[in-house]
Amino acid sequence: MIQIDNIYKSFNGHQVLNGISLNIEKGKTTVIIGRSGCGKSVLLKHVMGILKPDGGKILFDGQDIGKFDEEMLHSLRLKMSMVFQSAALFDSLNVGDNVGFALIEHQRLQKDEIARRVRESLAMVGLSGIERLMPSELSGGMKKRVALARAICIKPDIIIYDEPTTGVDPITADIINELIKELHDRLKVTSIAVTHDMKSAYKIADWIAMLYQGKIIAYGYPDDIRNTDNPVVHQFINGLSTGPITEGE
Amino acid sequence: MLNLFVNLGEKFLSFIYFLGEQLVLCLRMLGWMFVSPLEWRRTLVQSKRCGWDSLPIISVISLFIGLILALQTAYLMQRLGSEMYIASIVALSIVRELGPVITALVIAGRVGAAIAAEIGTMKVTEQIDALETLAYSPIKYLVVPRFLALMLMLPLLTLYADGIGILGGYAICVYKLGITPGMYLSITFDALLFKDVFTGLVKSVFFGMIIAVSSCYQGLKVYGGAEGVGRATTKAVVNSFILIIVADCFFAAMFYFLFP
Amino acid sequence: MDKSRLELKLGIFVFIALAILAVFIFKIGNLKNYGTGYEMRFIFLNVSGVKTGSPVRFSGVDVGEVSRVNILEEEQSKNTLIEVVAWVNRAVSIPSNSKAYINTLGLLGEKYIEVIPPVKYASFIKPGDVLYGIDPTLTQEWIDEAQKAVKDLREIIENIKAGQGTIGKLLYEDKLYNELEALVTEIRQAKHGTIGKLLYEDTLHQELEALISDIRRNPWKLFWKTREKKANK
Repeated sequence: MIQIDNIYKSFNGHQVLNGISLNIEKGKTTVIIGRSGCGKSVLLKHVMGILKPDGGKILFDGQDIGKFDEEMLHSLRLKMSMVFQSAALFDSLNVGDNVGFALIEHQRLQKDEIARRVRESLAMVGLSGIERLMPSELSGGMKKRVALARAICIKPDIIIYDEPTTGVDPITADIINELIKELHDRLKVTSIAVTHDMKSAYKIADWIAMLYQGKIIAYGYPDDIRNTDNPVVHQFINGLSTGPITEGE
Repeated sequence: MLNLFVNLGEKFLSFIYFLGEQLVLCLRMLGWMFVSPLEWRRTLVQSKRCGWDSLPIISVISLFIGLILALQTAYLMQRLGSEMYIASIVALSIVRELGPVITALVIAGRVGAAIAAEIGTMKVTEQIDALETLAYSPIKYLVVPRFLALMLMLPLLTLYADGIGILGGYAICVYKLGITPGMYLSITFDALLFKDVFTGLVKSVFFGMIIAVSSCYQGLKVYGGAEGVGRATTKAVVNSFILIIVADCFFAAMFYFLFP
Repeated sequence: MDKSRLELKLGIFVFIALAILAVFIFKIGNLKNYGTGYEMRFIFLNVSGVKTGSPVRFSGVDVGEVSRVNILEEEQSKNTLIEVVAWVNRAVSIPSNSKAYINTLGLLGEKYIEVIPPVKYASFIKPGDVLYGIDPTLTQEWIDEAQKAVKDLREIIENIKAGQGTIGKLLYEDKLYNELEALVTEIRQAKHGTIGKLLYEDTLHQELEALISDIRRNPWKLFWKTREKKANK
């Protein structure tokens, strides 16, 4: 569905993506793992078309999104939604308006139709009747779930998760993992998740890719990754403080 | 020695770049301004925040400016024995210069800082990115309403500042220097020309644009968490101040030659 | 509730601001409402720097302002006239035999047009009418006048000195004197002619003396002519 083809990107002379190639399969959940600050979020922003690569291209259903104009990007973004690491709910709007944001702004729908879709989405993430609350009144876990509800509200083809379980307690993390799986099964969406939480990765992934030094160094089924003989991957997935990754530090 | 010139060149280039980026933001914003749907609701909310909520501070400051101006002018005018002209001096300086500029500076400090902090916080908490992923331009959603609000509210606030400043001068002259109320007002309105009020209002429209663009620009450029937001807020206010004063000088020269 | 309050506050805010603007617009003197006045014209030879916006005063009261200043070329008289078009408040009627002057206002020397009405009004100026102005006398003109006067005076004196004209001839020609002298001599010598006889013959004197003494004696002769005739007979 999405082909990432040899992407390069640098910020202020610092090379973040160094020739990444990755194929995202339709209807599957691909988890990209890697250390903090290795460029995972940057990669996701390329996929969303927020950032433009310095070199290489990204193909969406065979079309190069680097060549999309404003309008095509607009419709592309309406097929995707992203769940941000910090939830990124709009502080100035209440939960209901946050979830229904894209519907309110983009689609000429009746008010009660929007309210119905918002209610449905919130129910799907297990939060009902909180439309009137403001984001500042929610706990971290609830915010993540509201963000999830906002992502599914526009009925996207692709959902992108940026560290969905970071910053929440293990029980909430597991609830979120269950939710992601459930949504994937029910809505038949293609998912891309970025995480460094291996428990979460094993649980939700169909495919796992490891990002290291701006490149994909491993790609395979969760079991392949678990039983890898690559020392870098081995150090990362087992959370060891000594190994090739930390050698130079 | 060579280093000095290299440094100077670099500073100059970065300044040009800085202005250019703001101009680009301004142009992109103008492009988005006419894309429907118009952001009426958000513009109204921003207008209320910028106009109604700033009214107390603008009133207090311009009242005191009027009082101070009358007292300071009285010092000289009494020596010359022409207290009559205090009214004209107060009216002209407030309407032509102090009203628009003081209002712009206060609003830059009050509203500009708030805009930079708000947008900056949205940026560091990924809300700006979230807007984009929801296929909504942050420029349209955030910058256009603030720009319109500041552009429309600043002339109105300037009118308040003009009126209240003249009242300040009135208080001193009538209650302290014994000029009759009717005399004060008739001298005030004799001294003023319509072009004085008009040029003041035109200036304030541009000051509003300057505040909006440079605050939004600094807000959207934030990186690095809370510290970055603080830095952006400071920069937004400082840059607005500098640009307002420079623009004011430019306007003073332009109006001087255009409407002599 | 929240929504309508937002709009209410904004509405009040905008309304008051516009009210202040309205006060400024209507109170500021120079933006006169051009609908409630009329245009009239003044013709001057020289306007000494009156320009658009200069005030027009009627007996010292501001009643209007200059809206245009045009230069007119007079074909027939080969003269240049200055036409000053002024806007005057409708409420003011200017008598058509008023006098218009250019005057100077205050220390800074702003020029204005002063219209002085005559003692008795004949008719009033209608829109578009012309009032011929009395020109300001320039200092240079004063000097020119004085110089001309001095020159004329000098010329007269020169002429007198040169013995031309009545006074000149009276003073400098001796023909009249000679003739007078000759005449007197002739009278003395000839003892004839009216004046000669008057001076030198005593017949008239004696007769007059006789008459007077007769009247003294008979004063009634003056009143009764017939009786005198009788007495003479």
